[in-house]
Amino acid sequence: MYAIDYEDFGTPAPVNGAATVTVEVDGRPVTVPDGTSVMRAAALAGVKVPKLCATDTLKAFGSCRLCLVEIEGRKGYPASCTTTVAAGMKIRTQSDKLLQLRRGVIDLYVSDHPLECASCPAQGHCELEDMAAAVGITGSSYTGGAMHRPMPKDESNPYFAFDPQLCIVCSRCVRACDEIQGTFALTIQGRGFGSKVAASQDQPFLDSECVSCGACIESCPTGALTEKSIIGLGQPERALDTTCAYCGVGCGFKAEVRGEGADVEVVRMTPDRAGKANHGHACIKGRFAWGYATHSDRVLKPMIRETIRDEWREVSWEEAIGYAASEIRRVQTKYGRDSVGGITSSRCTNEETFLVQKLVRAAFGNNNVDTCARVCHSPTGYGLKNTLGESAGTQAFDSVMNADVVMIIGANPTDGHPVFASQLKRRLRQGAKLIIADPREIALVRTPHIEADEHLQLKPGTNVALLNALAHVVVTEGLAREAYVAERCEPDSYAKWKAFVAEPRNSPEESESITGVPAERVRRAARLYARAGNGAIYYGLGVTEHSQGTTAVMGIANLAMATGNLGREGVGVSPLRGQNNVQGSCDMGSFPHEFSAYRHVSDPVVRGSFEEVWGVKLQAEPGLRIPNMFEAALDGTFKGMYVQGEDFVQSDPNTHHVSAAMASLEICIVQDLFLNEVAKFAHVFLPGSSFLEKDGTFTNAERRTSRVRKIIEPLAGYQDWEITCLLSEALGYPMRYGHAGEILEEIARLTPTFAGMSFEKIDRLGSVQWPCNDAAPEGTPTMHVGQFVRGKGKFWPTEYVPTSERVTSRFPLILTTGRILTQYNVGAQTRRTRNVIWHAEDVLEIHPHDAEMRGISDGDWVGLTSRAGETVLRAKVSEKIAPGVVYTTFHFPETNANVVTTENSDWATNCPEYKVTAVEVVLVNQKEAWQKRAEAERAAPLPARKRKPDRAPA
Amino acid sequence: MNIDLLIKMTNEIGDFFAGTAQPEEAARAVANHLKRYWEPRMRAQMLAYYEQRQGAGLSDLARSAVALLAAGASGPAAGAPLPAGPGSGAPPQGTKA
Repeated sequence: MYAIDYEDFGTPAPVNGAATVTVEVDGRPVTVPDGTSVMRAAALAGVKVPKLCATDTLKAFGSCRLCLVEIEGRKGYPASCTTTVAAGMKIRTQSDKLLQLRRGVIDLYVSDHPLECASCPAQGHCELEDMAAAVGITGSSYTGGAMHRPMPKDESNPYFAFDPQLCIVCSRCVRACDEIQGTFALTIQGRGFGSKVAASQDQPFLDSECVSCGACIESCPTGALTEKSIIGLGQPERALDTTCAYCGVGCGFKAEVRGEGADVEVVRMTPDRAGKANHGHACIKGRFAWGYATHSDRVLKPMIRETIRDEWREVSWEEAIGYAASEIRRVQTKYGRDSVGGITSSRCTNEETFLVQKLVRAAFGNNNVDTCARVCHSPTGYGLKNTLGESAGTQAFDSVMNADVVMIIGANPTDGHPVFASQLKRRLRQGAKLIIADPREIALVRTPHIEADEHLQLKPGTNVALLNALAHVVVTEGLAREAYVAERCEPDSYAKWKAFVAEPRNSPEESESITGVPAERVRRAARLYARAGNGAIYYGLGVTEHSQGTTAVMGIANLAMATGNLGREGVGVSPLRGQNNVQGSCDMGSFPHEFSAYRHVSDPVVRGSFEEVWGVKLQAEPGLRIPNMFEAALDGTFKGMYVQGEDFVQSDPNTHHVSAAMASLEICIVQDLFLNEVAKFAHVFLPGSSFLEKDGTFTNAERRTSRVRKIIEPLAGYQDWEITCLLSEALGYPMRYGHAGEILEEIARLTPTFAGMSFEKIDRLGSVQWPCNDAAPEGTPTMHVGQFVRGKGKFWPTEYVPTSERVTSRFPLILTTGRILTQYNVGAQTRRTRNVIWHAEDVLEIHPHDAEMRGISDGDWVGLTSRAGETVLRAKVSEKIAPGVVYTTFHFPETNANVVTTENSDWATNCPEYKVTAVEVVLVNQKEAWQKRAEAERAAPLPARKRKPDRAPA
Repeated sequence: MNIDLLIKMTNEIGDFFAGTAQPEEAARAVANHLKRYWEPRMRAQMLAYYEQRQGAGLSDLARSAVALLAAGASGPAAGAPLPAGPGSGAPPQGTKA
């Protein structure tokens, strides 16, 4: 059933309805776009036509026969959902005959679906109940016939139940799965009275291909498909708009709640149809996996301890903040101003992130601030800034609907960015071509109704060689758009790059031995992209997390510029950001060398503007990056850290190295929801707030800044930005704001690309894509229109330099890491939800050939060893991975894949080389020593702290 | 910091810029990169190493870049005093000795 404050127009707006026609509905004139359905025109005229199988998120279907109307001059009673308007049409939606027909239809429906509404979870929100009332039916006139009862409920899915007794087989769920989600997991099985909704091969939902996006539930007109949270808690009473806290798609949501004041509780999250990033769609994480916010593991009291071997001690906020501040100052007095730093989080709001970097720069007095984008998309910032002029993706997600050829490099959208993947799949089903460059056979290579035109299954670590080979084909086969380049790019840089990629050593044939991709396939892909009309590139961490991550980003930008695929709808270079506010945290000046809007700290004018507003002298030298902080810690010159919302002990590479560095700190202040891995090294724990407990903004991968709204009061008492203010005040640098909106005002004052942003504007427009300033007061969906931000686009020669991480006889396999749909990043949130049903542990995917060579069978415990460390996890024998390559995820600390990843990193940004680690895999019968120690620690009683019972289904 | 890591990082920066320009210009680009992105104590350590070991282990390009850096730059020491202004207020009560 739909969000509680949603008006349904019955059928979607026509796609190309530029011309308009005027019709009359029950005597009311209405002008609508050509191609509009009669049903929608009636709704726009304020006339509701009864309906059951129709809804405006799905194509008209015409099966329920309830929406029949009379049209002057036409015979019969056409279905208003499948009949489109014509100029001058006169429509009658109410007549005795129509009522008789509708009553007949409803009579039949309720003969199998009695109106026993009092016991139904959809009570008050059931369209059948509404339609029956509309036509005056209170019960069926048919008695004694067959009924679909008793039929067992399918309660296998942890988040929703399917009750076939409440199903009217309208096909809305099936169509939602097909048209919105694109999974095609549902079908109507059987014929006539035997028709029923079936998941996959008539399997329980949990065992089927269903990905739990929830589109079926939302489209269900009855209570047949219902969230278990509604069954358990009852119907919500009102809805509040906010933004999802998971991936970089940044879906708009309506948090549907009940209760008042401190008793407000979230009943369900429904994707916002007005959400410009998601248009009413969601994935399993955003829609369902929010129970972590009230999980009993939440720490709700501040805690301190003298050493990391001591037990935690609950203290007041005043004592915790005072202790933290005094320790920071003690360390600075003893070891120097630059001996401390801070980490901002891509899971926190722009406002919170901005304040943490302000705290470090203004109150700590140095530039030792960094963010988790260091380990994911920092090469994007460097690469795109130096080629196009701005450290951000060029398009809105909607742009993909105008793409003719889509190239996906090193990304797995169906798992990492599922809502964008659904939109992409819609475009692909319309006929757009697809090129995938990935060592793995990701789902998009072959999925229902979609098959990649080219899968370039390259060896890990060879992106740059592949990009050069693609570019070689473009320039040597005359596929470059010379006029575009001449008009918009630096001629010298283009000439130099063109000569470089044209060298025979960069040809697909010469590169084949490096990349492993057949030359002819590379040539076909290059031609397809270059001749596309509109060619769009989407890429992910499979591009950035390499020793040549930045070079690959530049290679992508080169390719797009050379083929004229920038500066309009349907084209572009779009990094798919992993976490919800990666873009925003970077925008806010989280990197140690730059202020907000990517302006270097050495720029005296920029620095002066901050000094003026902040009232303090700022440093002109770059600070330490995260990996530099670890090195400095081991060196004894870095001794204190403030960490807001990050768990780099689990997420960063070479865990043993990171742990040793963290153990050497004298003061570590962790502000988080849970006692995560980094908290093991903390001396002060400040309980943070979830996205449901705070006000602010997130900026998604398309530069879209959306509001996050406080739905419930902060469980520990403070929003995260308030905690930063408390700490700053205790450090002697007061930062006083009455509301998060005042922080955004300061950001706008100091950040040219955010100059026109405000809570008021975002509230009014729904969301705003930066740059938002006088030149673009309502934001900028597409960048580089007319000219590049840097003026002329700059090409860079991108020499392929093999990683130093090589396979050897000792480590003969390459490990590459990634994510899956149901878990998120280090899993701190999703591991505390029912998502663990789908993914309860990280496993190692290994090709059957490599498994057989090692005597490994599916499900065996295997040891995974690199020069950095060892871990033990279960094997999953899979042909989705190429021989010689193994793959795992990093969601669980119990197996912690980053124990084996190394210190290798991108040359420009130090983004770790997660995607290439030389390893060996052996059959084992016990876990590693560190895993046993960790298990023992987890089994030990938790530190004394107040635990709250779970308030919502986790 | 681990000087071997700093040497590796410098060489890798050099590997990129080597392909973008003639050696002299590429060396300036590497030096500029170190200046813009390396924290002063990292540069200071590299410069000290360069002075002591003549940049052993550095590629020719990386060595040229560090030489440029040595000729024209040195960052402030890590143990600089606390910042002036409001942020330098007295440590709150409860400060450890």
